Amino acid sequence: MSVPELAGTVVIGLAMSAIFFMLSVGLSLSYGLMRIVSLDQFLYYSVGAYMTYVVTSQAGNFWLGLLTGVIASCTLALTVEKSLYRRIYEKGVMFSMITSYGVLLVGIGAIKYIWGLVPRPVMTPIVGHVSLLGTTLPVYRFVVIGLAVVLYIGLRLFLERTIVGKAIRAGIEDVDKTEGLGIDVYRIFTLVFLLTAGLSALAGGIHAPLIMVDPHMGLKIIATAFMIVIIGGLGSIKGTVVSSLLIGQVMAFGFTIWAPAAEMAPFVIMLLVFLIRPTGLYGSQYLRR
Amino acid sequence: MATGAALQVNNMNVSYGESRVLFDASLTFPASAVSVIVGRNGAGKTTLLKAIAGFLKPGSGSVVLGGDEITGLRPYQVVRKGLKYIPQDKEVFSDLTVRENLELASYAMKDHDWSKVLRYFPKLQQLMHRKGAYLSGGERQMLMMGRAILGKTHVLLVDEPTEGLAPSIVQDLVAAFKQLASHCTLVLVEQNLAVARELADQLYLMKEGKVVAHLADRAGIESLAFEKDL
Repeated sequence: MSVPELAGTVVIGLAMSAIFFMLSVGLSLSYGLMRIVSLDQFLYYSVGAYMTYVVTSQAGNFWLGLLTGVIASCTLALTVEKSLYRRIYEKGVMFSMITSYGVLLVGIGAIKYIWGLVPRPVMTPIVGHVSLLGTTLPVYRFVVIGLAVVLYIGLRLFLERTIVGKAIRAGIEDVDKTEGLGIDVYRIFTLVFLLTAGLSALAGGIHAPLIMVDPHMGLKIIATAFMIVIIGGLGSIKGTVVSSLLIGQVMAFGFTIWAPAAEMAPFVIMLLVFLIRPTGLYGSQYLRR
Repeated sequence: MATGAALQVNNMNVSYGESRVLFDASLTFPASAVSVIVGRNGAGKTTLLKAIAGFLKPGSGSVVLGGDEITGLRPYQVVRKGLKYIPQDKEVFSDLTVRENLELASYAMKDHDWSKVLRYFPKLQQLMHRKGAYLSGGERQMLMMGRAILGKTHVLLVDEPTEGLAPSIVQDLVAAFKQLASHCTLVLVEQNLAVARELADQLYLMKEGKVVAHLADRAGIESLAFEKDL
């Protein structure tokens, strides 16, 4: 592999990692705190992408589309959380998995009804290119990477410096003990659910110009997102960053060297991590319900 | 409700699925007194405390705190009414420092004055930046009690506070309990009979999910013996 090829592959891998991180970090926090598998997050990912498509194509403003997608997804997520999740938080993981899969399928049906089955292109908001080590790369990929870095720093500061962030960290360790201090954990659950939905929508909107927006885009990325959550360790932001970087690079190099490896290698990595650290790379041994 | 009762449990029944573990438990805890519940493992003591604190839903019966019925409230609502529960596992948030553990309790109870906590447990001052995972059993117990006394605390339920602790730490805790008793009603589950005898103003004996005796006189409490009575 030549140096230009190598540089291009690394940057493409980093941009993939950035999107994986945005999509997975909320899932990790949701499972860590509420012990739910929230498959409907992939609906918010799709809604984020479609709203970005609609506003970009109608108003010509990608960033406004991104914001619209986040707001629309958070509104939808708030409705789902208040009407459905409040009733099933106590019922175990399988219950949330099946219920949220139902929400996802209904949502996909609605997307098909509104926008049809044809994949839709989204205009790239920044069309420039930069030269790096003998290859030319779109500026947008660097913007995606930069955005993920900013989000990571923001999330770390939120969790470590704010009292709500500390309550989330405490809840990830032990929800009952957090409530035993006098904290209304359901309010914290709602907040984390909305945060996750907002991040999923952002990931969808940011991803849209790099792929074609289609009704099944959420379904296609489910396995990768959950592998990243599991490899990194449930509830660990640091773990999600490391596993996103790992899987992004593995997939980017896989596509460059031998395409089938891109789909297979993440599963192999997950199994290897399970053998060495069953809690994931940075999963807490103290995590309990 | 009895006159001067800070907490009253009336005919409480609790089951885990099909298995009933608490049978018609009725107890009265007078204000500003130390009540101790003793019994062998499996007698239903922890179940009783968890049901009072809202962590278990009783099948029937009621819990009355200072005249207000609190049966069926969520644990955080019970805490905000001034009833705190300290479980026996001595687990604090291991990834959070002592300061962060106290900050969370302050946030929940809207009480940011830690002088009371540091007066009872001065050692916590030196441990402020230490994570919960690196505290000893005694230090964890102090932190749990420190968190619990922030905000209004009418009744403090403490499950086996001295279990697994060194004798010197036990003495420190006993001293702290004696001080706390002047500010709130203490309900302790305790298997260390020496501690129970030293602290108790009244004592309940539990056996196989039932309250089998209530001792409110000094002579009765002093004569309690593990093999004979439990």
